Amino acid sequence: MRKIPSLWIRVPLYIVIITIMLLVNLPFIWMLVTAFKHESEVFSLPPRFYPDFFDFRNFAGAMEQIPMGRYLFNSLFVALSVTLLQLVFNSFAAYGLSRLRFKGRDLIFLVLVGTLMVPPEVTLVPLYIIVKNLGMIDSYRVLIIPFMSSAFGIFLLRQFFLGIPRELEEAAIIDGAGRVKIFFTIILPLSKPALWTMSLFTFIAHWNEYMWPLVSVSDPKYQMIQVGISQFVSGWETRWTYRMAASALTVVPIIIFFFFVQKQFVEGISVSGIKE
Amino acid sequence: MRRRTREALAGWIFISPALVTQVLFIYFPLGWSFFVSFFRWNLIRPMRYIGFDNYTSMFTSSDFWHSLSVTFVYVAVTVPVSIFIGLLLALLVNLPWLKGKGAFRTFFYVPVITSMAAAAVIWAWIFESNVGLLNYFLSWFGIKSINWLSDPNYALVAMMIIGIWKRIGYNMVLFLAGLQVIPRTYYEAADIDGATPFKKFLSITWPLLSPTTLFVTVMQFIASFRVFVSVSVMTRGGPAQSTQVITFYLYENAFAYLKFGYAAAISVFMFVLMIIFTLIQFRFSKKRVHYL
Amino acid sequence: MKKEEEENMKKAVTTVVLLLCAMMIFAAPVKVIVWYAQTGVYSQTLLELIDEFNKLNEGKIVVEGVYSGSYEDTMQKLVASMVAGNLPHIAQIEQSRIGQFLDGDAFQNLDEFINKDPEFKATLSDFFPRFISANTFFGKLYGFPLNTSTPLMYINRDVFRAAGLDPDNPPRTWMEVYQASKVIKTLGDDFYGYRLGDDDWILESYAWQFGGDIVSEDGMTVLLDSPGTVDAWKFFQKGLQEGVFVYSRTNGNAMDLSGKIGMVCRSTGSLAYLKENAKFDLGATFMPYQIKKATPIGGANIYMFKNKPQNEKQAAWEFMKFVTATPNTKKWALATGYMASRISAYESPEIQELFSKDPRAEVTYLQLQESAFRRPYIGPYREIFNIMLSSWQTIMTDMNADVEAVLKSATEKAQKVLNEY
Repeated sequence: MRKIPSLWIRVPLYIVIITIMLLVNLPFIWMLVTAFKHESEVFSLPPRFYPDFFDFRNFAGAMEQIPMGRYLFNSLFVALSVTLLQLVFNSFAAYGLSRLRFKGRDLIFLVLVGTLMVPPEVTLVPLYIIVKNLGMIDSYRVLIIPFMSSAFGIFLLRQFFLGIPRELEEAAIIDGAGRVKIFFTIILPLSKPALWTMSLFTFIAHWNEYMWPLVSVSDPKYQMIQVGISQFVSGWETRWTYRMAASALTVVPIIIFFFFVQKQFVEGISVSGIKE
Repeated sequence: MRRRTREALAGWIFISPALVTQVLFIYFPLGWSFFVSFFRWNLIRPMRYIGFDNYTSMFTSSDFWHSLSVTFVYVAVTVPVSIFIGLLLALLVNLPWLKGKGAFRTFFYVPVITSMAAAAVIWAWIFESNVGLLNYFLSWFGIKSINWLSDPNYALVAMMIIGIWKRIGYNMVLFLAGLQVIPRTYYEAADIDGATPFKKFLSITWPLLSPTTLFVTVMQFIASFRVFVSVSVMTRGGPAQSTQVITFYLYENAFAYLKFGYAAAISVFMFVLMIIFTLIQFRFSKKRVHYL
Repeated sequence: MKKEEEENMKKAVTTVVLLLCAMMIFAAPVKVIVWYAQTGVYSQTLLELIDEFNKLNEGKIVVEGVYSGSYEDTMQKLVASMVAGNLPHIAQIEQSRIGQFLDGDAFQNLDEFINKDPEFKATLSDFFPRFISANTFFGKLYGFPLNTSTPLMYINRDVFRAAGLDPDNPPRTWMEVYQASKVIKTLGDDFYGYRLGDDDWILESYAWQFGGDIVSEDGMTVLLDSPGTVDAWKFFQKGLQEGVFVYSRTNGNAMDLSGKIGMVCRSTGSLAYLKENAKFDLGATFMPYQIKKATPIGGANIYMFKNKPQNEKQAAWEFMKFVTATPNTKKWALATGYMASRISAYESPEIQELFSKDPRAEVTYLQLQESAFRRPYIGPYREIFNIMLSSWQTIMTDMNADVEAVLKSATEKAQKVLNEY
């Protein structure tokens, strides 16, 4: 039975956490509030956290101006596809790099992690040349295939796999299980938190992509949502209310999704089966 | 086949799809950049071979060193602070008796979900000197309005605040995942021995969290080093170059001035620098990271 | 004989099929890709024009409009496309960013099409001459105006009245602006006479208006430290030091709408937006001057790229003619608030009616004819401008900065850039 600390500790801690949470979410709250305001209210002084009118029309207006439905669908499809592909390829690679021994393994790991250092601005133009020559421009493929695996995911999973006690695998090896079997029956199930984490990061990163879709896709049929939203910005004459409404539409579903899924990160693994 | 060879073969098969993708879509482009860095090229006029001239210009350019120093300052502040806060949040949210964990975890993660482009716009308003929220709050404490985004002395601070804000949820989630792997039995044993929470942290949590901590540190370092969107949306390197981080310096040279060869040299340099730093971090961690 | 008949049948069928194919190839509409860098009502209007054009040219030409992001993002997309050999036919590019394209001969010289098109050539003089000269480089015409504008000085007439100033007689010189600002300041500490910002074209014009310059006519010398430019910057810094002017980098818009600013220079394109959102009586007048009347022509023009097949360029030319034709430039001006490019559109009843309903809309045309100049466009200009901007930001935020020294070092730096180009 775990002790529950006294109220003297619990209450202040709750206050601290809630305060931090409110502060951290300030921009988001502002985004939501602005989405309901009238354009002229947006920059009022002093700043107001409640709109004078609860105007749902901004959402309708935003959806009218750009094909939000299509953009949202595209972003969903692309982000989901990339995530699934990465789940497969990253975990394979991470397993190879953490549990299997072969010559040059650590060098390859360094090489892979090295790609993390390359800022996207650097690869933008040459990558565009490559995908153009592969004939992938203006399609879903150009948004998915270059990202089928990612050094970030591999790195994350590799670190995690390294943290799994070797005893578990060794027991299985003694029982005669092959590497592949071990991968699927022991490592993967134990790695659920890390796999979920990686999936979430990947999904969100690709959901929010802007520069690459802007450059590689011209056809609105395939365009992604962040590029769509940028169309509300027009120098000084930006329609902030529409932009916030559209942005809210891209953020809120993810938050809801995250809320339902976040238990998966924490699904503890009871490792009490290890005999020390 | 001998077990060793079988294992090696399996190893190669496991990593090949990812390796191929990375090489094709990242290393080829990088190689292309490397090649271009030896030329003078503005995309319109023909390329002209100039050997190492781009590199010498770079190393003798005060703008280049300035942007490096701005970046270093940014990294030096944002990395420790965002890791510290991320870990703190993870520990808090992981407390066994805490109710509403799900909500807390979700809401701390919101900044990560919000695209930086959208968030930057809101932060620009928060930092606004006259009608902004931050100065409004500060005025309650009698602090005079700070020209956050217009004052060269404060603009970088504003960027750092945003950078930290964006990543603490990210680090928190990573630490949370790492915390879950630590067997409860260890803590229970420590409880029986009467250990204080602090001692438990120091002797169980921190050491066993170390692979995750290494990961978080490396990733945070890279992310801080690569900061771009907030600068691009809010300050464009200004005011007076006070937020001219290296990625923005590269971007301007490539896409605004069309000095492609020079920009390529900068990107090669960045790449090499990052590798060196990561190697250092790995070396440093060799003694300190404990794998089960 | 049956076999011969069969042979002839086959030949006939083949010929017909070939003919049909040939007809299809020739009949297939030519596709023209146009990149636009705007959003909201601007892109809507452009897309409407594109639709109209496509209907008129059904089966012959199909224009596809592609959103290319902001002016800066457009550069990125252009760069990538250029390298990959995937350029559009027409792109909307901001005027100060075209230098390197010009130097590299990437744009199509439109004179070639104009000379073969006598009907259009006759209408050339209908364009405002300053627009044409702004698009003429090395004696050749390379672009047409799309969303052009000049900056107006907007005034808050309520503030003027409260300060005892006459809103119908706004300041015309910068000295007068300064005097008026001192009076406006007496209304309260949070009131300012004139708001300064970072807008590139406005910064440039400050230099001209005080008799200075940024780059020499031949594009070889940087003139940032010329006496006129120094005077201009000293003037504005003084206003800041005395608290009668205010500088805002990012939230100028909110300040302008707040009702505490007396005067500000902004694009004529802002008129519609300000009218709709300002809760005060909005006035608009000419941009001030001190020594020389000079206002910049701002916005982006449309340019055609050279390396495309001739028939596609011909189709693109048709679209360019369409978009700049009188009824369409009129429609554009009415919908977006940017300027019409043709005199006949300007003189049309709809536009004239617009002026009689709102005389503020005409100021930009009067200004265009009186004092408009083309902005710097040379190849390395963006880099030089950024040096200038950085210096400007320094003197705007550091009240102790020495304008002369700052401009001198900026000139040295910019000259190096220019020399290396």
